[in-house]
Amino acid sequence: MDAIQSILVYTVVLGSLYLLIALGFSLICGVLGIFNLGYGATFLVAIYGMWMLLSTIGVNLWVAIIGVFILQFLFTLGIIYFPIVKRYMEKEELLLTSLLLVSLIVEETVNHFYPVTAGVDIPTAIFSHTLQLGSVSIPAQMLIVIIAAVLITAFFVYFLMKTRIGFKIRAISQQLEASRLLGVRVERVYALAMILSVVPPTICMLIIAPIWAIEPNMGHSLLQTAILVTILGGLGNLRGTVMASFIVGLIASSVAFLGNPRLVGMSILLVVFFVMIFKPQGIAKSETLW
Amino acid sequence: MKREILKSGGFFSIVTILIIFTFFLCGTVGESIAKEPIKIGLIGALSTPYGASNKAALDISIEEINAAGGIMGRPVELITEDWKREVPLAVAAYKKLVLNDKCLLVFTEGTEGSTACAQVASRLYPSQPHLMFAFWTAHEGFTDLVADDYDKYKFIFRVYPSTADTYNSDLGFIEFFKDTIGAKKLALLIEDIGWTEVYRKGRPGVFPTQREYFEKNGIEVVYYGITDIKEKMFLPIFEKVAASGADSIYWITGYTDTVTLVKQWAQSPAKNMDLVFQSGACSYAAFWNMTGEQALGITATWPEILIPYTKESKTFLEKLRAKKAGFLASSYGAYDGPWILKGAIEKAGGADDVEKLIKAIETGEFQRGFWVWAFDKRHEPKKGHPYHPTVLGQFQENGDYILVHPKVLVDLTNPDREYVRVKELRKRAGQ
Repeated sequence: MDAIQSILVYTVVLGSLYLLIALGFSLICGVLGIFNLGYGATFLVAIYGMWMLLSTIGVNLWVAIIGVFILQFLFTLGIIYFPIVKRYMEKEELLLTSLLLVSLIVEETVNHFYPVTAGVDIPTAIFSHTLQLGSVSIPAQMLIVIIAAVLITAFFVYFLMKTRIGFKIRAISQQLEASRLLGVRVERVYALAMILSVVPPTICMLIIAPIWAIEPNMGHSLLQTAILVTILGGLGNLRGTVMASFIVGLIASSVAFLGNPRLVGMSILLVVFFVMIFKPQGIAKSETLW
Repeated sequence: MKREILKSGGFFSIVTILIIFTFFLCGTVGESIAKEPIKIGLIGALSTPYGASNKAALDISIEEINAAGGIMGRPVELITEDWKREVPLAVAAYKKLVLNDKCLLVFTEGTEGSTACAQVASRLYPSQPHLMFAFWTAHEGFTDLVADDYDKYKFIFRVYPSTADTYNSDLGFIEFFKDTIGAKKLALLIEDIGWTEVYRKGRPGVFPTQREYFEKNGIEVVYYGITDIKEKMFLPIFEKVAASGADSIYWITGYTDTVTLVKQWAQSPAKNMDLVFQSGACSYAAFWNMTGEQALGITATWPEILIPYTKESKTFLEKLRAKKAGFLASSYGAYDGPWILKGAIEKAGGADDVEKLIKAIETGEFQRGFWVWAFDKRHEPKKGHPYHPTVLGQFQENGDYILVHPKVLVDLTNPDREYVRVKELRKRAGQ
């Protein structure tokens, strides 16, 4: 009974976390139809941008939070979208190589200025105690992760389903040329999608920094998580991404509590592998964004 | 005229001058030979904090030797090679350092790098005798080379802790758990990687597994786990550990992300259990900041704490910090290593006969910045005070990194402080 409680609680906790990590990647996959291999750098910009503003420039926490979002928008438009994505949209090999390269450059830069021994710490803990849910204890900070995941997903769904620009985004994700012919300014919508894509990972990193790894190569594992969830969800389908996040959360918590925590990573990889073999379109069809 | 010069003894004067001049020339040559530098090689992963720290420690050591007149009047020169943690590069670097640069001593790094270099070195040794000091090489099997085939590997010495130290009764590791912590029920976790093999599998007839070892010594292992070095989500593990009834956790880490681990431990149901690490980033004093000050109560081996063995201990640490290099488990051997060589050369009466140098190291005792270095038959450092210890430090209030083991060094370093159980520390901190 205790194990079942643990599995249920951690399915929600981990599922929410995976959702925040993967949502932006999935959005880019759905709208622009590309694999943003520079997505790993987004996490670094969030954490180390925040640290730079706090420790090097010396602004206060709230200014730093606003500043890091501005930094993210500048980074994603000024370094990822305009110089690379827009230019190499039709040249996949150049696009992927350039995005990966940017990610590695960011990692090296961070490693130079703020190596792991620099003691980077983001003071964004709202809670620092544990929360008892039945027989299970979780860091109370994880509750913020769950709330953030729900709110951001709700915002994305509302924005995509109910707003005019949301219609345009969905139209582009389904029929690019038709949308263009109907007067949708595709590049502007792409740029907006790029901006939207960095919001969930930035919020995610700010919330989990007090209980998560902060190191220059942290982007790799987070990118891997985003890719796995997105593939499982159906390459760019946000509904699929939500479902995939909680399925991965269920697998992780079931293996950890009923089996061996050592096998969590392998179990997730195997499930995604078999989904790719037997249901390559993923859980949801990828023709639509939602 | 010529005859007159000869008659007046001029001939003898010229011969005398020539003889003196010849002696002078020989003396000059002799002096220039005497001033030929003694070369020390370092094969390090120089772009990593470990490699950079080892190089900085060697630089400091050699600068001090040269400032004190070198070794028997000969200056010491350090030649560094970067192996980028790639074994073929380490092997190539070793050949270069011994054959081209004529290094008398080569420091090697890492179990895989050192083991590969030992094979190359054994082939080079007959034609180019030299010494090899290995650090960042914890695998206890490394020094079996010397034990199994002394003639082939007698030039190898380890200047670094060994995984076997845990089993060494002179180091009192088990007593730390039993007496200092008061552990009765232990959660034992071991990261799944090569260097921890002896802890997971033991060595038949030599060492038990860590689990067996603790249980034989009266500490019940109520939770046992093998963990992935890439793990980032430790909360389910702590959930299970807390449910196991353990009162303490011993996590054998080296490559595991201990920063994340501690952040999650501090907000898990296991947060009141004592947590001891073997190796990893937790050894740094900066670990306190890296974890957002959540490392209260964490204990780790080889902490970045100044232990004032000699007057040079402090100056070395100050110089190391001035070079912005970390103080690591390998810093001791890196700093003291060249001084061991100096002592051996002086004992042997010169650097020409490497066999004599080996005997001098085998039979001598050497001390500079830290403990007394003496080597056993396997060319392992002798263990237990005043020789090579195993030291443990604990993060206490305000991030003070306090030495908590062994007692003799605690008395030397922070006599008014001792180990405090995590629960008590949290209570004091109002957590």
